[in-house]
Amino acid sequence: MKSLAAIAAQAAALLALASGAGALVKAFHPNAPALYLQEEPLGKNEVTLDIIRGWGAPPLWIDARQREAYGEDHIPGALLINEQEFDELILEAIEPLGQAQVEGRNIVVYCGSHGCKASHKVAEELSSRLGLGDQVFVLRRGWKAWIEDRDGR
Amino acid sequence: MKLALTASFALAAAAGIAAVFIARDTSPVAASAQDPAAAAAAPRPAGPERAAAPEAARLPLPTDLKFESSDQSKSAKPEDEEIDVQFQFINDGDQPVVIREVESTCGCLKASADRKTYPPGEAGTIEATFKLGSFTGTQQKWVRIHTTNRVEPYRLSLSVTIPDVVVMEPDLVQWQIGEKPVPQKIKVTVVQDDPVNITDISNTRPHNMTVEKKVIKEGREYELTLTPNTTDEPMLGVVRITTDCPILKHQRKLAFFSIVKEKKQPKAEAGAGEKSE
Repeated sequence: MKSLAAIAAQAAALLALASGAGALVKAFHPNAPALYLQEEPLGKNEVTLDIIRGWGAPPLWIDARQREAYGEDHIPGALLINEQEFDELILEAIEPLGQAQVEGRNIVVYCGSHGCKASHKVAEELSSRLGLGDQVFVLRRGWKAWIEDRDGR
Repeated sequence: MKLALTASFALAAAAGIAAVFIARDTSPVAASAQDPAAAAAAPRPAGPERAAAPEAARLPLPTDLKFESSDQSKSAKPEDEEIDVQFQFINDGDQPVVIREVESTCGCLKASADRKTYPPGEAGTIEATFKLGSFTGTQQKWVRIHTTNRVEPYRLSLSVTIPDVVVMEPDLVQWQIGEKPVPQKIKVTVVQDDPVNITDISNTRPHNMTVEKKVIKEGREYELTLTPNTTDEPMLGVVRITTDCPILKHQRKLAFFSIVKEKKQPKAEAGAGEKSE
């Protein structure tokens, strides 16, 4: 009868060998997949809904998606300012943006999901071209994060 | 004997884990979990081969889409409303490749593949249309092609240079709260061959901001002088010029003004140096 220690040692050896082989294949196989075990760290000026909840005062939301997507649904109170219509839309949004500046209220831009870059572009325009500086943030994963949170997913 | 048994058992286990690891994310069968169309198009072994090799343990041979050029640069004319680009490719592997999704990083860029499945040796095209809207300068956008043959998407880049007709420099003037409301100037320059005249100037804060126009060279160069009545309160506004430029989208130009607690630093050149997604 084998002792428990011997069985455990054998099991550990098997696990180590198997893990080693798996790691080698992962390292050298041409089609080895990327690992997604860790969430990417937040980028410059990126925030999550949890961070926003901790601010106390709600932000001014800016929707950087296409007009059609905004028309279908958007975060309540969000203003539409997308990249390609920026110069037209900014004229309609300048008063609330000015009010946010006066009140020191944060401004959060979002687009469709993590893959889109429009929120970062619009945030850069607001921050740099309008001089709103570090009052402007980007919602990580954008509309997708909002919907998942709203629907409790 | 005991050692040999243990070693062979360990090797079998290692091979099994490695195979499952790879097959899970790279085989067309794995992709089919998300895309039924991919499942239908994915190749399956037939006859004895099928019987001998469980699907999860098959290692797919390297399959790849080779693009003629995955980075393209275009120059637009001032009057262009959109730019069309084609990314040509060929499937140089020995397995069919199914396009699962063509994703763009901007709503302004619509892209699609000319078909869903590309058998080995088959050529294809990703068609992309970039709507220029009010963009000017150099704009770089990306398309990601998600396929069944690999986890990471293919990344295609499009860089478009869109010339301006009228330039306002600087496009932001600022005063600090409490500082002396000294006038600041914005230079308006016509950068295309044909002359353009300013026909109207407006600003969103007419009660607290005076904007005066001076003609430096008719049809070519102007100077706007902005003077706030007071710098006691924060303020954000827009000065808009309307011109007689025959190209509708270039008829209006904006610059911004603000009174702030702290002035921002002069901005670095944006857009042109953007190289990564």
